[in-house]
Amino acid sequence: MGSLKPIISELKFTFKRIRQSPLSIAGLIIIMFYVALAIAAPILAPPQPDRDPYIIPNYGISPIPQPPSSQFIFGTTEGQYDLYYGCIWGVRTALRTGIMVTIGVLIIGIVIGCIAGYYGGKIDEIFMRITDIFYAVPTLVLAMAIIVLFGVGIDNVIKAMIITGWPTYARLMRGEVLRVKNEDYVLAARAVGCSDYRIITKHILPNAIYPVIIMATMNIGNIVLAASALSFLGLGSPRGYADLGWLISLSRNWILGLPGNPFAFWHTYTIPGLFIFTFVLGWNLLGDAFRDMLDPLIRRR
Amino acid sequence: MSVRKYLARRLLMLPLILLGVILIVFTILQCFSPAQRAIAYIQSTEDMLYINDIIKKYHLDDPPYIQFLYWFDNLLHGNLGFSVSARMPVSQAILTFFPATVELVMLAIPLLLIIGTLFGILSAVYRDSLIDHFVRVFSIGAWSMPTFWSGIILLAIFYGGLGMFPPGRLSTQIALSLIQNPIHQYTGIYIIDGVLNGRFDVAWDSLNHVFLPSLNLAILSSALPMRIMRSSMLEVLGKDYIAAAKAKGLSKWVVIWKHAVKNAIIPLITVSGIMVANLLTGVVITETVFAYPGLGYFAAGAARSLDMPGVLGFAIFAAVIYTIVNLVVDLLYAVIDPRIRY
Amino acid sequence: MNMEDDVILQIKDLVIRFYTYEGVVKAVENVSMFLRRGEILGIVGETGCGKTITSLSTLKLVPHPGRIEGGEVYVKTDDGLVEVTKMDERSLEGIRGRYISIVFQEPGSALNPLMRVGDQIAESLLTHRGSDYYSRALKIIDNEIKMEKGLLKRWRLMVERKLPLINRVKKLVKNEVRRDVISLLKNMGMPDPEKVYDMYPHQLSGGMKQRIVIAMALACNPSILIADEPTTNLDVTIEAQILELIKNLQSILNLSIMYITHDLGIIAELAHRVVVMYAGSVCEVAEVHELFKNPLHPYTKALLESIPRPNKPFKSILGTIPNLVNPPSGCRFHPRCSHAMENCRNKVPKLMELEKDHYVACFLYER
Repeated sequence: MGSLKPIISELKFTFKRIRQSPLSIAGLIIIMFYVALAIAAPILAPPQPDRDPYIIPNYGISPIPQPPSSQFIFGTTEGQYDLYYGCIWGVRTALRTGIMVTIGVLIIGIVIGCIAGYYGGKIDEIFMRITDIFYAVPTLVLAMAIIVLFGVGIDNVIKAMIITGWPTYARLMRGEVLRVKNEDYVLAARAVGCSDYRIITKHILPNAIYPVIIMATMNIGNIVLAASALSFLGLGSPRGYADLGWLISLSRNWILGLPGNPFAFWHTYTIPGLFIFTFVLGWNLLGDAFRDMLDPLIRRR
Repeated sequence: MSVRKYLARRLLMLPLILLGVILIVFTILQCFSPAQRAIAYIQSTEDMLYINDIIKKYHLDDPPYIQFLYWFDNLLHGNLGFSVSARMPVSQAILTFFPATVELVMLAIPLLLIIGTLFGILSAVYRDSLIDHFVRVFSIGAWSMPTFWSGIILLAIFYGGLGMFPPGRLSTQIALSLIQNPIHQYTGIYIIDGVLNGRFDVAWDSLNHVFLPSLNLAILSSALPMRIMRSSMLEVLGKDYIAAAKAKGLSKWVVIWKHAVKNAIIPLITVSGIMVANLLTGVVITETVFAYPGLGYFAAGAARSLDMPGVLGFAIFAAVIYTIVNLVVDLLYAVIDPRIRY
Repeated sequence: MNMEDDVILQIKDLVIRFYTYEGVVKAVENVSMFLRRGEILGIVGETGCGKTITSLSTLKLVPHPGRIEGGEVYVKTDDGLVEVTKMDERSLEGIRGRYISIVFQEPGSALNPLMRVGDQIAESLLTHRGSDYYSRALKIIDNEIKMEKGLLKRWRLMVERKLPLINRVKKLVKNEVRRDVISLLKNMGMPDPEKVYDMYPHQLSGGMKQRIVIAMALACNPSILIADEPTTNLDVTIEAQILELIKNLQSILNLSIMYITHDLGIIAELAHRVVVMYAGSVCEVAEVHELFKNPLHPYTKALLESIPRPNKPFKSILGTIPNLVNPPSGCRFHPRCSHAMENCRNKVPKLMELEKDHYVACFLYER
């Protein structure tokens, strides 16, 4: 599909720009750190045998959180849940949620966007009206409604976010398809008599899909943010599940600390919060750097 | 096309989109059996005995199209069902909780707009300076920060650590005094009503309570206008008419304010729809963290209690607000950009 | 600094570099030229030869990431000789639009899309002559006060006069400026100037927009006009009109014009003297007829030969414009020059006056 040399030289330039921007390197490092953390979770925080590893072990029934100690590196939160275990596996949950939502949203969005963009006409009109309706309600609110409908739980959080998220990517895909549809090689393929399916899969998709995939990947940070917000509100994982949003919701009762020591329970909200914050920050840093680099105006200053 | 035609077209779209939302809500509701849906209208446990009457009354087992007419009719009359979590009809719940949210938002919006646009402009004008780096770091940080986490940290520091800015809407003291000597509620917003009634302690107390949640909302939401303003200003500053204006001999700040900012603000208007959506979301979370009894607090409580009518009522309300805001935004476009008018 | 009496603008050994991600672009290297009062100086060269940047430097408008690294620019103003390169922003604002004006290439992009075109011309007038308009308006109000017999009305007028931000003074100023702008537009040959004043840029055609831009540039009667390829993006017929306009304005107002273009035809028609630039340096300077009759520099010769002629084979200059991050050593044209010698690779030729008023920078002519 054309000569590869300009693509390679552009890629080289892209990587050079990545290396030159300290923020994007920082983002990359953060993300790699968390991915490694998530993968290594069974080693870093060995799950108890015969138990779902995502359930945080708790050691006692006292509601009062214990500060970090030699036994519990991050301390315990209300109900004596091991915060260290919760955070490590919580990162894994977050990553899992982000990836699954992204995959779901991409599959639905790409298929629908392709069809709407390629066939145009009435189908496109209907598509646009449907996305308009989805856009009329803020995503979190819609997700809340869907969860209340189908029930609470992390799987339904994922489903709800896929349902609220696909319109954006479908629209983006449609836009790209419209752009590529009028390129000469597509017209040539049609003139030769290729079937619609072939044209879409072999010609349009490979050229239109990159911005969509890139945008979806860059958005994982925001997905994790929204999922953790839903968990915080009590709509996500059940009690005891390793979820960073849920862990923070536990800390609400302990903000005031003890008389004389207002920050006695700082670990219950600071630590899981830092995990979420830096995780999302890493994704956004990289995403931003990517966006800056792909923008032709800023690319060569 | 002229302004009037443009306006008319947009006004027409409004009810259509809302109708679409309502249709979807209705379709979702159809997934439930008539008995389940009847529960929406139940006010107490005794009513459960009369569930068949309720089903008949609201035509819940009639064919869908007839149902829709009755349901829609109920909707227009403000009957959105009964909210278990708030223990009052949904429409009444919305009216009760709405003013508090307005009070919160009316403080947050100017704050976030001023912080966002000002720093965005400064960051573009003083490119690569300390302010620019601060703005870039801050906007990414604020964009990545979970609203509930920043709220909790603010509470821990200011309320836990310093004893200032307590959560909730009014202190128990003032709340009690209001029960004994109620003030005339002109707007439902205590800051305004307090002043209008001469009760400055009420106004001050309300301000004290609404400050921290507003700050939380404003700081996090200012990230988007900040970034948009910055990139928009950078783009505009590179345009020829800015160079031409400088070549005319205009001073730097005149060029910036009179020429650059006016042009740079247009993309900001485009995203104001998104900003409102973010605000609605942020309101739900912030009010929950600060136990501030507004619409968001109600919606979160309804969701937690699986109170379907409550959540749906909130969703429809949010859709209405969002659509109206979008209409206003489109109007603003026409006013500011002559290219659309002529 | 000794300048001849009729020289109004002088550029000496100008060096401009751009600090970009890909390296330092040596855009302008030791460029010198001068502009005489009342003459049209044509600056010719291919895209990227540095002609635009050189002209922008006369007003210190070199865009980021460019920087003036050396050399001086002198301008003769009413207050005497000023060195632009050493001036601060405030003083520069007094010169821009007042003594030197620029007309940019793209007619539409020099106009703010959100402002009426008349107001944009008015802005120029108000910036430099604001105080004049203001005092004129005050005089009119003073007159009215004198003529007014009724006491009450007199008081009212006097109050209006005292308050600085009062509507009345501003309105009077606006009307005055509007009148001046409309007469200016009439001189530009703009049809229906009253209507045009209130229009927005997107409502006007390319030729009309360019007239507006020229009007904006000439509003305060500058002595020097820099025209950067003003007709490149216009239709040929409109181009002819604009060129005609420029010629007329020049003779009526005794303007000194620096006309930048890559079109030799326009040079032949318009310019009195010509500067030929290549890759950031000056190759040749001569009076226009002399240049066409007797080109000395190999680049000039190649340029003239490459003008398409009927019944003659198409001749182009071999090679491409050099990368200015790593320009060729010595004379920047030597890789493409058919007369290149050993010297050309090692040393940079200096601009020398070979014949009367005919300068060349080439080792072919160095003694």
